[in-house]
Amino acid sequence: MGKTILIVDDSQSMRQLVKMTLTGAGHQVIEAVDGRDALTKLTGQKINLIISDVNMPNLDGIGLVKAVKANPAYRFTPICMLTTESEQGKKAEGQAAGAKAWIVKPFQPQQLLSAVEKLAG
Amino acid sequence: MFTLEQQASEAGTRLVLSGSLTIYEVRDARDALLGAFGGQPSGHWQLDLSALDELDTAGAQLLLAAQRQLRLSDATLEVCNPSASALELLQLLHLQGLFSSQGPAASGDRHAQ
Amino acid sequence: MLNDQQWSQLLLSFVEEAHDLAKQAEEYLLQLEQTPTDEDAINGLFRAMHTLKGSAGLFSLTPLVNFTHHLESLLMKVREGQQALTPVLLDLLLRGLDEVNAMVELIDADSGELVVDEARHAGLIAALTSHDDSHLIPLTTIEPDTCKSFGRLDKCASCDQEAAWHISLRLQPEILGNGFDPASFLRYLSRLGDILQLELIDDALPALAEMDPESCYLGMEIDLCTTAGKAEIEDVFEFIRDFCTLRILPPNAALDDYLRLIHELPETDQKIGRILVASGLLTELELDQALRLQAADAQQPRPLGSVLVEQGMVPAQGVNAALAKQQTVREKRNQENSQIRVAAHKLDELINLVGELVISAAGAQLRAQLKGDAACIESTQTVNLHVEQIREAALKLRMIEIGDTFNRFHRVVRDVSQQLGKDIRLEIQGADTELDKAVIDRLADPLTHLVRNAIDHGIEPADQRLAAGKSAEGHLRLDAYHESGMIVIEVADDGHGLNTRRIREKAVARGLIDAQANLSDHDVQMLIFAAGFSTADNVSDLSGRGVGMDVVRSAIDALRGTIEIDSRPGEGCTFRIRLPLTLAIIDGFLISLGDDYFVIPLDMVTECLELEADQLDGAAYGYLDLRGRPLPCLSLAAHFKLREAPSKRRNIIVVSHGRQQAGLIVDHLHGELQTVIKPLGQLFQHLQGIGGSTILGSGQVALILDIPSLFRHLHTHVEASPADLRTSQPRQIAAGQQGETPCNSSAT
Repeated sequence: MGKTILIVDDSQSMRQLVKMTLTGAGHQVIEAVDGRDALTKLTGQKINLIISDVNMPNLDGIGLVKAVKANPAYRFTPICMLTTESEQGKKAEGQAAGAKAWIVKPFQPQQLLSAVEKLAG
Repeated sequence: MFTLEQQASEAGTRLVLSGSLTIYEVRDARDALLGAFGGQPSGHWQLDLSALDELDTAGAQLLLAAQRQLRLSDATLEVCNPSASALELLQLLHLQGLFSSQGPAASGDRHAQ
Repeated sequence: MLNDQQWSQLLLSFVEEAHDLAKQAEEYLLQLEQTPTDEDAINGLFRAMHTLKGSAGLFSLTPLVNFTHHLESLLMKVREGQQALTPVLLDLLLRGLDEVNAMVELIDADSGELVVDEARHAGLIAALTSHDDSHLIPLTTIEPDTCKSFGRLDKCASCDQEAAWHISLRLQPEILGNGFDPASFLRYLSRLGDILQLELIDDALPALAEMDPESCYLGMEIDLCTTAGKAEIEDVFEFIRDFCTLRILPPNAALDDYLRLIHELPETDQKIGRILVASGLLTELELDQALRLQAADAQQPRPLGSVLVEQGMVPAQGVNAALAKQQTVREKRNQENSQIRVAAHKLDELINLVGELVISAAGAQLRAQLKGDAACIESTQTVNLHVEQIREAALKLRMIEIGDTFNRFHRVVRDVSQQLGKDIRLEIQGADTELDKAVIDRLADPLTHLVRNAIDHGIEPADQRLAAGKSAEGHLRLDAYHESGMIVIEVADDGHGLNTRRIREKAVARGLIDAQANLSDHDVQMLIFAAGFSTADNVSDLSGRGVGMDVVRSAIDALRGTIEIDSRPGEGCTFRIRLPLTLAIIDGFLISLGDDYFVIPLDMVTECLELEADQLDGAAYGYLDLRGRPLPCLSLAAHFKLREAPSKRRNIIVVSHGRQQAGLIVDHLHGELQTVIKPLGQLFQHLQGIGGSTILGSGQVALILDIPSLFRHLHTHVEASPADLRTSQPRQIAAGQQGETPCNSSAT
């Protein structure tokens, strides 16, 4: 059964790749260009998973995680962070904030699909 | 959104659960169930899951805890009419015993070793 | 192991294969466009993608594997009639093939890497998967071959508990609050195989009134039937590792496989944890965890194996198998089975260089000693030690077992004995004896001569054998073994032995010896090695041996070896060849006569004695008394007609070769040295008694004595004049070839 997944990334091509992969697997995708934009999408609709970049303008990934965790309607929504090797330092900060699932870029589409299944399957 | 509706039936008390029973709702659902059970629940209780759109592990765990609660006062619990999504989860966790209609209390002891 | 060149060759051939397969597939597709139900074409198409996927997997071309997997699973549905081959699908498949071709082109021929256009790639995959709803199954679970009741709850018919993995999972309270639903992981797990049994552990679950509904109190005991390995199963739980305790136990059936895997791992000396990880029985994460536990227990460090078993990470059998493996590896490290083929000339180059290194290291040591700098001397000694080790290791590289050469004679014996109507059995011993490859190569011909002669002339026909009270079946034995630093190779038969009388008659007839010559049987037998002893026309006349024996002799001589005959009338004859282990470098003993240096192969030196006066009275040859026994002696200075140095003290070096012993009278003893043999130039090849030369660390040339040839020479002289025997008592100064002072001084 398809899930509703919010994908947050300031890179259009990355959003595109993730979207193609996910929609190809039958999921619905909501796009947001940064953390602040993402928060505007959390308006009551059911979201099964948030996939977010770490480094973004306006509100970065860590800030988004904190905001989601503070939102009673979305605080249990699983969040999967997309990170690069060089951002590993951010990982501890993000985990403390409540993002427990991390995928290192670049990743295989299969990896992303697996993560979706594990987190929201 | 989770709602609980209490009906009397010939077999005992029937509770109809509707909406979602997930991590988001379990806290409210727990209070609702405790309220329905009252201080000293007795007899046979049926949880009707036909209107349950969504059930997750937290919800299933709550059902198990409810069964435990009833057993404390020698009451029995049976889950019945599960919706498709509820059935899928209960089967996944091999909790079919919860809605077995034969032998009201049989379901509880299988996992209690 | 593959080298880079082999690897790129393989890669190139894969690229070729991939293009061919894609082309084939395209032809099938075009055929299907005409007749969409052509089963052969569908099968062919499926096979092509399947093959391509398999080969791509070998080269770790993951994107290609993934992509072809999608094509393959789509085609599988077509083949099984679950998917109609519509024009849209045909078009999609054609585009997919174009992508395959494009991807193959993108493979970097050097690095073997494949970087694909992710966006386009993902788009195509999405298009393919929209036609195929089995796409969510991870790659590793395609065609589960142990379980057919995929996804159903009841125990499947095709497998049982024996074949199932056991997964023990205890969830931590916070897992739910962190947004993880264990059910998702279970669903994902069920994609790996079939969950046969799931026991929900709710012992810790309180009653409704006491519980925190957002905390998790559950655990699970799961039996999973899958073809996946431990690491893949563990990977399912990757995101919740911090929120659970996970133990994965292999099925009994798979445990045997793991134990076998451990047994079959390449034999490198590894730590036990590494062995278990390599076998797949332990995962990297578990190993880390166990190592941390082990380290935490610093007071009483326990073996890793017991931590692993205690933690339930690996069954005890697994740890035992890994320990056993570790043990055998350590024992067998020297007889490593895996081999690398290396061009012989590369080894020659290496050994040549090592030879030069030996000389220059000796030079450095000499300089250091002259300078008297203690630290410098110590360094050069260390260098020399290592050089020696390198030398030994380098020489070992050239050593191969003689077994292969021996085994070739099965055929020779079979053919020749059939030809002659004889029934002969070949026995081989010491096949694992190692010998320099160059020696073995040059040994094949003389051995063939000896074997043929033994069959032809040595072993009698069956009727004669029976009459002589022997078995009808003749025996021929090839044997190789080590003896005092040399390799001995024996060719032995149980025939009638050499006929000494006939050999003698013939030698006289050929003018090799005088009719009156008084020769021992042994000396007579040795005559068969004389050049011109036999010719082809009298092969069959001769009941002894002799066909081309001079050829055998010269081949063995060229290898710095010797050959001896051990013949017993009526019982058989053994030819015994002694060879140096290697041709390139020897351990030598350095001596000098005046200003001239000579090296004697160390293996042959038995002892060093001091000679107080010149007891040979200036004669070149004679006898001395060695502890009551006559020792034939040779004065090297007189033998080589060197200018006699007015030396007061002279020394005798007792050398032995085979069963013979002799003393060499020399001026000074300088001790052991390792030396590289330089062959003598063409001009000096005929020199008797000199086998080669070498350059000393000081830059001086030393000649290497050819002891066997000196022995032969000495033999003829002292035998001919036994009256020359002079007896005197040399004073023993050192016994044994490892003699201490003064023999063990450095080679200056």
